[in-house]
Amino acid sequence: MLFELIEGTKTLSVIGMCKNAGKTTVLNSLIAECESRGETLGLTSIGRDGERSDLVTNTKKPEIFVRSGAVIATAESLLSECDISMEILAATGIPTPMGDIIIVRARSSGYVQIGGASITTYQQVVRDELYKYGCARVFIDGAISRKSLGNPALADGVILSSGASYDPSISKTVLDTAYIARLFSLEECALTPGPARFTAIRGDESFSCGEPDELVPFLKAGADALVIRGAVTDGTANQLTAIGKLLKNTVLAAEDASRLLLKPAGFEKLMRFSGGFRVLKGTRLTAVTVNPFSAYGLHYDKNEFKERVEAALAQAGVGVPVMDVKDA
Amino acid sequence: MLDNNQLNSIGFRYVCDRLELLTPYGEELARHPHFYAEHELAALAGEQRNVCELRRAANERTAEVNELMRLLMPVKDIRRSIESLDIRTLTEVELFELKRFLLQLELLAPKLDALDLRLFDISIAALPKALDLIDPEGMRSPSFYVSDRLSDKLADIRRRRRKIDESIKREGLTEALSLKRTRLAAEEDEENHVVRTALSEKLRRYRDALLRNAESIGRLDFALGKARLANSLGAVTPEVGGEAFVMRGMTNPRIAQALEAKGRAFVPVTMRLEKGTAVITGANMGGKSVAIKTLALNAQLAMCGFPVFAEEVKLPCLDDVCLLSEDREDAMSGLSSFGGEMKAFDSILRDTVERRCVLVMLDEFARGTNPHEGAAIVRAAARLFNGRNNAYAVIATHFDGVARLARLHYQVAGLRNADPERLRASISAGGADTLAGFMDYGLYPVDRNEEPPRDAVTIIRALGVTAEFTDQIDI
Repeated sequence: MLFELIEGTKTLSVIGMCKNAGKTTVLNSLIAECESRGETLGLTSIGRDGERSDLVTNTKKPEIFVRSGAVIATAESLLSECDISMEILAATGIPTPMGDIIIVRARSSGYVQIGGASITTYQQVVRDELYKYGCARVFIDGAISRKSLGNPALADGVILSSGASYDPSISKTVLDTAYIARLFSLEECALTPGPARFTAIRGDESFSCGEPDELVPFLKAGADALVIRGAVTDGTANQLTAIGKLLKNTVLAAEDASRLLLKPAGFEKLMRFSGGFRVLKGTRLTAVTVNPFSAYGLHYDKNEFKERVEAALAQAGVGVPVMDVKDA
Repeated sequence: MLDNNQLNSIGFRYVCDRLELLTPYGEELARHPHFYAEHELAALAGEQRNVCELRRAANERTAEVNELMRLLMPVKDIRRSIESLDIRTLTEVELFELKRFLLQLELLAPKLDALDLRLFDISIAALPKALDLIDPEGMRSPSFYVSDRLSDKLADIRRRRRKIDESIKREGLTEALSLKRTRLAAEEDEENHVVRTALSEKLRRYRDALLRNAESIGRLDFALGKARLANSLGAVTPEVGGEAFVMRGMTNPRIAQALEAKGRAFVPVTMRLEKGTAVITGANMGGKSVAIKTLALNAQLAMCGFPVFAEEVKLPCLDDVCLLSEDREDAMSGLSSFGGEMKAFDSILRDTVERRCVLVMLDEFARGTNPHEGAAIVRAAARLFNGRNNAYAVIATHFDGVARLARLHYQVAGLRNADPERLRASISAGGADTLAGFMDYGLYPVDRNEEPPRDAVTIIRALGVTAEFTDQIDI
């Protein structure tokens, strides 16, 4: 049961690799489980989700179903699409393209449309508001490929949902899923970055600078770690590998997993050139769910998909359970 | 009319930005403060009285005023919803915000009444009957839910929904239950709309009272902001509408703050004006422009119902305040600076000719052309305003022969009183940055025949400009 895995998690983000990855199925299953235990649930989202028919592919999509008592933060213009009997609790004044975020309490069961703020600070405010209204647990539903949802400042647990809609090639879907899972499982390390983008650390010494080339004199004596502020892209990878073997025994550290925007090849390259990758703030990846059904018709074999994702995770050293959405 | 650039440059925007406003209504008033016209003198006096009353209250009953401010803070702008009452059914969110507004009025009205202030055109009154419509149970909770009491039908639908929900809880969301649930949800939605429509219609009769409250909250917030700023910076109430035009001991908070940052103090400016032309002459860097800006700021503040930064201000009711200075917005319009200046001057002349009473300030008018013609142009302006009986004109200039034509002549003392020996010693010791120590920024009335001082070269030397250049000046 998926619920057992998240039982100790207060704020949970569900991140989809793509649309139709089965995220909403996962959420509904968790919501039903929590509600049957009498928990007051809070729900919020980044971007728009829970649509009756998927706006992009026009495939029928499961909707988010809540019972009486749930507290929902959503954009004002989506309220008319919720069929719960609703009590308005607060108008937060937090803007979204679909109107300000409004907090409502469900006074009956029903389907809800959740649209949220896309700025992390606002998401935190909304999350805290939900707790203020007595929620025991908050679920954050993500829009397509918004990996920023994995921002550790927001949630203390993450479920990654992958599915056949990601790519017609099962092999590509499996590999990319394992890669994202790997990023979300990077070990945390306690380091204090300097003021500039790059900070090399050796014992008690550190050197902070804006360009990788400036690191070279410091790195010649060896460094324990190199902290990178901001996004780590393929461009960053190329800059760092250009330094050569000086980073061989140096651990690279990004601020958190959401900053790692490089392709698997760039990540692999950096891993080979360095002493490994860590993050200053870790994400707690709780589970990976897989959905063999594709919105585009090219379904995968249910068992094969799950097994291949499991194998790929094991190979990447990611020790989290994999579940088929239908079993969640 | 002063444009935005000028309001910025004279420090008027600075004053408005320093107001700590608490509500969107107050913020809106401060974005474009109203310039009171002659027929609105009673309203201007009312605004002055409001500010005075609130200043006194803020000083003497600080805790109560702080409480009032705390209650103003959560007030939202719901004017659009109120106005929508005329044409459509309010949404649940709008009714929620209307309820919050009504709840806020219940708290605000008694707090304001308890202060027992004599306020002009500010009346905040609770509307308990309107609140009863939205909240028939009288729970006065801060959330909003369309009440079962408003419709038996709605109450019945909800009862049936609860039953279905219980079945769903027991049996799960079966197809049969799902169908029933969906149908009931649609029924509730329909009835909810009927109830909100009836509610909106009943609330319509409170539309004007609601708008009056919203406007009063804005005026209270704005006046309270002025009062608190006046208390913290020190300001007086101007006398507007008499014959006299006396501005004694004026300061300019924006310039004063900039000077303070450099460890210097603002030297207050005093001017008495008569109809016709007053001329300001004096050394470069002596504060002529500062005097003009300070006059413009305080005249504008007075006409907009603000307290003024001065010891005493008496001025006639002005129809307009005009300023011509380097900070014109047309600087980018393609005209040369001289051309732009003359076009702007022409607009001022045309705009003010029919006015009853205007203040026109020209800072270094016609500076961009040769001194011979420049002086003639400025003298013409001085004569022209002397000939108009509706204008108080103030011209700051370096040109000779202008003051002679003016009704009044003010001069920045500049280096006139500086000890020449000490100044020379300071200049030969390097000079730079010593200027402020010798400069007298005071503005004094002088004889009309007194010509502008010849301090420019001394000032260049005192600034420490290289001797390679200053030695070449043959004067």
